[in-house]
Amino acid sequence: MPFETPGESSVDADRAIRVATAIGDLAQAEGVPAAVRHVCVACAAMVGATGVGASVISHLGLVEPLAATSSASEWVMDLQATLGEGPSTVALAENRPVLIPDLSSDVCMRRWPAFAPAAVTAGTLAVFAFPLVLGAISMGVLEIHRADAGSLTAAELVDAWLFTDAAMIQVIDQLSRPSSGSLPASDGDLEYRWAEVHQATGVVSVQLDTTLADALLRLRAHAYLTGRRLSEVAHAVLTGALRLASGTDDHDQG
Amino acid sequence: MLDQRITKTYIELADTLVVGFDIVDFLHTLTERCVELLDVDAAGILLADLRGTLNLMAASTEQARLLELFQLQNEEGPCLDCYRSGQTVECVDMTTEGRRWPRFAAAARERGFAGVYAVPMRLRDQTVGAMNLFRHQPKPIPAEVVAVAQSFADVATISILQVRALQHREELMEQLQTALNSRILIEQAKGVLSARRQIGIAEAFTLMRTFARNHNQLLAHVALAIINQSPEAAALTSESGQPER
Repeated sequence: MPFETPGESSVDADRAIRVATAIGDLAQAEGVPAAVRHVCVACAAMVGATGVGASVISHLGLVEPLAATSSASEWVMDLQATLGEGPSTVALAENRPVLIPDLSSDVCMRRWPAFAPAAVTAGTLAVFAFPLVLGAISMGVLEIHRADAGSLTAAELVDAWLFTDAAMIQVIDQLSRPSSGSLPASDGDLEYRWAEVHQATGVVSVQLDTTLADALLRLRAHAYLTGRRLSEVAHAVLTGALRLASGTDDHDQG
Repeated sequence: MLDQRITKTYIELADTLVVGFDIVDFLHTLTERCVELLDVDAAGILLADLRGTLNLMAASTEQARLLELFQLQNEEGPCLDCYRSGQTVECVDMTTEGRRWPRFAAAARERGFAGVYAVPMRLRDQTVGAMNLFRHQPKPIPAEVVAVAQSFADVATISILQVRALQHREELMEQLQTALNSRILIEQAKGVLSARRQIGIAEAFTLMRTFARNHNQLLAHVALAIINQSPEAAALTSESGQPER
């Protein structure tokens, strides 16, 4: 069976550290908290892209570019948002990565008759789109653009997944971070692996009659404002010790 | 007697390994069989993501205090050692052998567990996760029982990654990510259902599983229906709805 040996598991852990370090270094150099744009810049450098962009789905259901490392990337993202077709549109609709090594192929030209020729004319030959997804929450998409046709290598693909993960966490943080106030204690993205965080998201969505995405942002914002860890806030919601209010004043009970 | 029951479990497991079978429900069944057949008190299946973080895919109970024991092991513990080395990790008595994982051993003892085992989930030369077994009593598990546990872990690996269909690393990664994401989706739905029905998380999960089985649907599908408030899940989410047994 043709199967590329992925190698030792620790190799992936090392890659994950490299990815996190690259993002952290960029943010530190600017003296600001890490943001989606740092994820994009670090990703572009590490996977050898001509540009990387991230967009989010707005409340109106529109796809809005959030960050792009080059004007060409911004253009490719705008094109897809405007035309309503392209790899990112598919990635968002089907919640799966869409890897297009050659946009100028006949298949792509037929599939996206408006987008593909426009992107190729503008000098983008390859597009790799990864959805920013957490369970049923679809937040946006990370796009990697290249001027030359060709697939991502296995190693680049792992990095792309890791940057997508990082972008997801940054989008949540960027959207839930209070505009004023001090920097929160770092609680690490590991918390998004905790079952209770997702269970509490479901509970809050019912209590506040809101979407899962908004419920998660409320939980995260509450963690920021109170200086507690996201997992602690989630636990308090599940035990009934905390009930988030529809306004801004949340109630700690007992 | 034990042999017969293990054979029966294999047949049951093989039956589920068909097109459209439910991976999440299957893994829960597997952890429950571990508790019934292997003389252990709790079992869990952990799958590593691309970062090497261990994610809990299924556990024999939904007890939060047990689930914490699985989560803790991203810092230290038998599962992490097992995942990194690809070897079975045994600790018969954590009061005497627990020094290698001070935090984990203390937490496990506090929750009434003395012994812990971790068997690797391997795909060819790669370890993708670990199966974790807990015992209240500091009594060794016989080698042949550990061998059965390993074979259960192998079945779990095959079912998660659907090895037969895998040709490329891309597909492996996509399946891993999909499996991990459906677990998150189900957690979100548990929360939604528990808040709608004013019931506990464990009970919400039991309702979802029963509903999925009775209607021959995937758990992830039922989870999405609950979250989206689809009419098909109305009987499950309405507070007056009768739990199906």
